[in-house]
Amino acid sequence: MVLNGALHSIRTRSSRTGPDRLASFLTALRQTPIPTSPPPHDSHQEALGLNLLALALRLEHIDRMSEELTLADSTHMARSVSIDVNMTVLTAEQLQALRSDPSQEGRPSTVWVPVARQSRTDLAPVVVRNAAGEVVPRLTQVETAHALIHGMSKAFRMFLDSDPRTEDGGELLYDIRHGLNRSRWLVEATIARMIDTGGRYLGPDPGRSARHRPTDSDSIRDKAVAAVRQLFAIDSPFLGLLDVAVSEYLLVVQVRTSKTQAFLRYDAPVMPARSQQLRGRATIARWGAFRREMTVQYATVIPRAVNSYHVTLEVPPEIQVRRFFLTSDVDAPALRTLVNDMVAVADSYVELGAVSPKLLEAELQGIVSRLAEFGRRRYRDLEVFMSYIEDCYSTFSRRRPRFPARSETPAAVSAADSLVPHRRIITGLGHLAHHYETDNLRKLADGRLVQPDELRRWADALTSSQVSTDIYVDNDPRENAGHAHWQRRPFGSDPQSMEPVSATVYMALVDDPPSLASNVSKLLLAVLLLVVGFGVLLQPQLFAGVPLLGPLGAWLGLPGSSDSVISSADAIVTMLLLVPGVMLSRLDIPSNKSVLGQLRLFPRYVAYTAVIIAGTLALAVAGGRDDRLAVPFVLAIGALLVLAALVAIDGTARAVKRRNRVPVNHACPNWLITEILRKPGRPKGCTANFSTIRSDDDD
Amino acid sequence: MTRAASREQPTLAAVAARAATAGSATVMFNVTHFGATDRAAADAPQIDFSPPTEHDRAATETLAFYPAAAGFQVHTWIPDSPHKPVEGVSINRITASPRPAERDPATHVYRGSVVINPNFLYDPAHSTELLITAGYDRWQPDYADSLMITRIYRGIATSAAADGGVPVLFLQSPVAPYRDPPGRFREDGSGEAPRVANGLAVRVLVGLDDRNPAKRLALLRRITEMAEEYGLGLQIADRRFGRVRGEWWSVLAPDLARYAARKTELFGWAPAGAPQAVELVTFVGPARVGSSAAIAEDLVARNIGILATSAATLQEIAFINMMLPVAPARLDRAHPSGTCLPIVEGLGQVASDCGLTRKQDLKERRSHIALTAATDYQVLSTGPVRPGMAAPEEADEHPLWLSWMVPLDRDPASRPPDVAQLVLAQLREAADRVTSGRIDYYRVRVQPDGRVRGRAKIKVRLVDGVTRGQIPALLSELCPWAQREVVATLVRDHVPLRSIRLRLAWRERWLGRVTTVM
Repeated sequence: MVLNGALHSIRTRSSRTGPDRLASFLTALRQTPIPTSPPPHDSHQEALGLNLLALALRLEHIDRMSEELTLADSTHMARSVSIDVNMTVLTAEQLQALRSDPSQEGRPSTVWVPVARQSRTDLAPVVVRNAAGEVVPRLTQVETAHALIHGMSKAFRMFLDSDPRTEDGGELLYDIRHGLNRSRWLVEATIARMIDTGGRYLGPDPGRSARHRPTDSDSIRDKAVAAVRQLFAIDSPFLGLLDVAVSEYLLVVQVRTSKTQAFLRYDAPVMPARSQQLRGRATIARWGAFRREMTVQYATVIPRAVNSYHVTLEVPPEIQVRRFFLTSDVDAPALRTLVNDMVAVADSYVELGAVSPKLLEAELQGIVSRLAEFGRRRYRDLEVFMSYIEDCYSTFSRRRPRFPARSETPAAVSAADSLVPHRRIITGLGHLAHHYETDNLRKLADGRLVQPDELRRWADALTSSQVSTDIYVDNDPRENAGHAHWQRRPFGSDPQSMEPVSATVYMALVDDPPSLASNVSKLLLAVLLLVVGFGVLLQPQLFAGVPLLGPLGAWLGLPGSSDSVISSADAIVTMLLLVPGVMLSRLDIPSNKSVLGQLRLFPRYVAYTAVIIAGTLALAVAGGRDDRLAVPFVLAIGALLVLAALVAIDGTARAVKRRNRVPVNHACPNWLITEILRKPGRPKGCTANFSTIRSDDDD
Repeated sequence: MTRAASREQPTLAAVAARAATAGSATVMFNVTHFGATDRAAADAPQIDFSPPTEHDRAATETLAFYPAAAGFQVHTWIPDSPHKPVEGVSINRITASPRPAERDPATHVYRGSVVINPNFLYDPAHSTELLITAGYDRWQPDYADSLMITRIYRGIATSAAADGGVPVLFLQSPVAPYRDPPGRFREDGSGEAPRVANGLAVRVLVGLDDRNPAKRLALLRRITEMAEEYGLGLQIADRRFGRVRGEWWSVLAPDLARYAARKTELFGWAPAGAPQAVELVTFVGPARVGSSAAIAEDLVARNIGILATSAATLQEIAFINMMLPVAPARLDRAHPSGTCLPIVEGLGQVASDCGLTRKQDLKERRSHIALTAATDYQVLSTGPVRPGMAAPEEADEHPLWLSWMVPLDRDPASRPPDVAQLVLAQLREAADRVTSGRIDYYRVRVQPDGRVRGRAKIKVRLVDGVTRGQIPALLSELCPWAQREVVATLVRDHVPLRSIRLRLAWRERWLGRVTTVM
């Protein structure tokens, strides 16, 4: 039973497509007890529920949104969200419907306003504060669900009442509206049950009863199922709305209407990382891949009315933020329309040209003009990114980074050439924009400049290189903080899209010099000197051939004493144990759960190993005889030299990473990678992935 | 699927929330038919956004179309309380009734209510616009022309309804035809040749299905083929980046000879001359894809001509207003009468008055309209009335486009006069340049935030002796002057200057980035 419930919960939560939504509704309908009396109606709750849902879907009243991200540890992220609520967007009718005191007359003084939607899996309590720091009352989830149930039932009745079949006596919907009351109540009860339980905890589908004669309840259910199938097409927006109400909680707060603007701030529930890289991986692989930088990806959704979005990150001063940028898919609807248009025009190219060449020309001009605009936008983004990388370089080097887009002299590209997608697509689009602006692309259909195959290639190239993704770079001058500011850029006269924008923040955190690694290399050097020093003193014959150490050993070397026991063994052991131990305790080695701990994993192992080597040698000195110390000293010096070599390799790798011009990462748009790197490798994932988007939406 | 649906869900939520707040999913409407039987040309009626049956409120959406001495006005609003304006107990979703005659015999008011169709969630912003031109001369249609317009209407509506269908959000005829400006008017690209206010042309706004752009191309192809067949000119809204409403891309130029030949071939039997009387008909019902096509099909089958039409969706309710020429044999009917009938009976009555049938058997054909998307529509008809088209010897009228946004004063007593009326009055004051003017098209929406947003087309007749080449300069002086004076008047009426947006232009695209019908 538990297993069944779990399976249902997975299926319900991942119900994205229309057929799944309809199927899960029908499953719930089969399992809901049939009511025997009409469900309660409350016009205030109906209006409240539907207005809450409408506002929560559009979030039009939110002007600005700022998020402050904090990495609690390497697998958890906390965020604090501030929003500016514009109360003037709410109409008088909405204010009446949202009033928090239903009995109040006249203009309400306080209203319920949804400020965010959360997945039902995030259950941590949220405290919302206003500009004065006072805690703002919240509508409980039970009350919200109550209003949503009334609202969705109202929406269902609206769909039913408006169907023309309800006036035709022979139709099922006529009967459902007028006579078959229990079937209608059953649909409303199903809506209520789904919203109440979040679509989970449904039992297994019992199927039809074993008896052949349809029982009353079976016939009621069958009629309800048939009515739902008739009323709601598979992609009906009603089922989409219900899906939102079922799978998400609304964060609803009380806001005063006396002020036109309200500022609210809340700490969202701590998010666990989605990535599997931090957990469950084979330990050998983890040991092999020491992290020189920690990459974090944070995905979130910007409501459609928000024109300004800030995201900041602050980390402990020991950590540096090496790269920090924000990408968003705000142009995705425009690109989707463009790509769809390209494919559609390519498919009917011949027919369009046959019907009227000017019709074909109109379509091609429309396509090329939008391509040119994409070229202008992304070229600007590319320039911004390149100057950001130049700024990053200037902190450690006088040499400037080399970019193909800047270093290569622009070859003269003909108008016809610019109409072909290039590998470096943004440079190509830049040329196209230039030719378009200089009126070199007046006749596209006549000169057969754009062929259907090219249109399809363009469509593929635009999609695969993610040309719709824009980029905003870090503009915080501090090394341990990042800030990116996103602004909406409407695409020409296109209407502002209704869709929310999904934004992704990429950050690379490092431990740059003066770092633990440099301190550890000092420790290693000290231990090496100590061991070599004692070696020269105790075993001069080992260094006989070594240029400086040989004569030094011969000069300092203890005269061949008769007994092979070292007289000052205690002192040597103390030195070998104490000096590295003291130095190790002076190192700042953090817990390996924290971000810093993850970054300092390698130097920490090096430091421990060095101390262990010194300790082992001390053991050999304490227990061994003078004439048997040659081998331990050779082994210790050899091991320390290997460690030194590893540290050197690590340092080189860090220096190379630091000069990385663009991260080859999923969070980075493909067009940026191909513009900057000649031979990019396969994009990698980030170390930790955080997302506020529902898990079933991110694939 | 998911992307387009993600746009529909918030729209549905908003529509449902509005209905829930109002208490019911009903939209109230007033339809006003203007037209006099006896007088050749009635005085221009009062056009504004307060419904005739409820003077004390502002309609949420208003559409007025007044191409000649007869015209239409439609107001819609959501009732404050969930009631319907019918007597007795009724469960009908659509009701309409004529209102008792007012003082003015040339005005017929109908009122009623319609339950909206929550499945119709099209955004006028996602649409494409077409202009189909049969000639650049001013509007002087005869019976055969009106039958051709019915054919064209049918062609557009069935093209839109094919393959799953896209909705016709707006359709109007006559409208101002557009011609690519010749060199002497073009200047640096900002100039335009003066247009006539109304010509034999149809302007259509078709909703788009983002999921399937092939539908749009198929529609364009079908309409281009139809335009070629009838010798019509075709212009489509310029889809190049940054282009605005009123910028057209010419696909076909009208072929006047071909149009005349097709007209004679198809409707050579039609009565000669301009129609003397028309019937004003409004089809009203919840907006639904395919309803226009069903009505057009019926009109073609019954040989009913369309002199003028303005079909629009106001608050998810479809209003298809038509001026149908009355058959010459039926002209002897006495005084105008107003009727409200369901679509089958309504179309039957209209057909008996306006059917220009040459064969009697056509009349007997059984209509299939009851099985289509327009099954539950109501037909409001008034007639016959005199259309009062301009006489051929009168000078051309020129269109001026007006767009405005002002705050709404909820108190009707202190509300300043309507902006379009103010502009019209101001234009009439310029007696040295303008001899007459009237509002041809008027569309107003009271926005939820309490602002009135409107768009209108005003046609003016210039003084005699102005050559065609002088017209642009003259209008370029007239428009900014009238705009400035009207703003001054509004400020005197205590409308804050900062909240007034007003633009009057003789080139439509100068109104700027207005992509919707507004």
